[in-house]
Amino acid sequence: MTEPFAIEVDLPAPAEKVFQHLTDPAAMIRWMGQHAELQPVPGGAFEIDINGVPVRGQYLEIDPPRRVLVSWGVAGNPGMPPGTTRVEFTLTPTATGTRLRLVHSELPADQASMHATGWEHFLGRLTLAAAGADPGPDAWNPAPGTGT
Amino acid sequence: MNPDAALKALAEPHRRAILKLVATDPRPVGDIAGHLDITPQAVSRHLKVLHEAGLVDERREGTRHLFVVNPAGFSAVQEFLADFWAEHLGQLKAILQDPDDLARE
Repeated sequence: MTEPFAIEVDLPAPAEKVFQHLTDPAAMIRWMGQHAELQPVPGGAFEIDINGVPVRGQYLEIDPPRRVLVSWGVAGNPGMPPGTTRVEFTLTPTATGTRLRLVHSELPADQASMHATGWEHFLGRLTLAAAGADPGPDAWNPAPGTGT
Repeated sequence: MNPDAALKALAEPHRRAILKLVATDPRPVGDIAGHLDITPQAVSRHLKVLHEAGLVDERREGTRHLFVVNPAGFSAVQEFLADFWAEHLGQLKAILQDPDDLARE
């Protein structure tokens, strides 16, 4: 199962604003992670610590405010080493803001890697849950195509 | 795998420790108990929860019952990514909807 994962969300903000949340460390950690080192130039660092999971990669392509492509991996995770997968953010202006399409590709193919990857995600969520925050998806609308 | 059941199953430190133990090697209850300093009865209860969540499998080798991580329980990387990205994009949407946030920057 190596086909990319894709999700879309309609955001109530202009593309420039959304773009800022993909490239500015202070803006980034308001929605993902607790610490971020971001150098939004091709080859620059894309490093975010998310609930104890050290996500490591690089900005690969940047087209403000339309598109960001980063590499994505997890330090210390043999199933998804730093820089091994790709996450593409595409921003499209809409009448009410911006549609953000996210495609996570080049995912690990073999069973062992997927196991390790999923495990890390679980641990990340559990760290959050253990800290008292609710990691559940109930605060938003997860279904692409059925949301606002 | 039922993600909710799996999350609930994993929301207990002994069960997480058990999963780590059986992730690499199939182990019997007694062996797991020995590693965790809890009773075999407690291990069995935890294994039942993990099994019901689809996270561990039971296998038999001769007279021994061994427990091992169920790879299928973790094979749906898409489910994890859906969970992960949905959670974070939902958070992004939430902060962008906050008028105070927009006014501040």
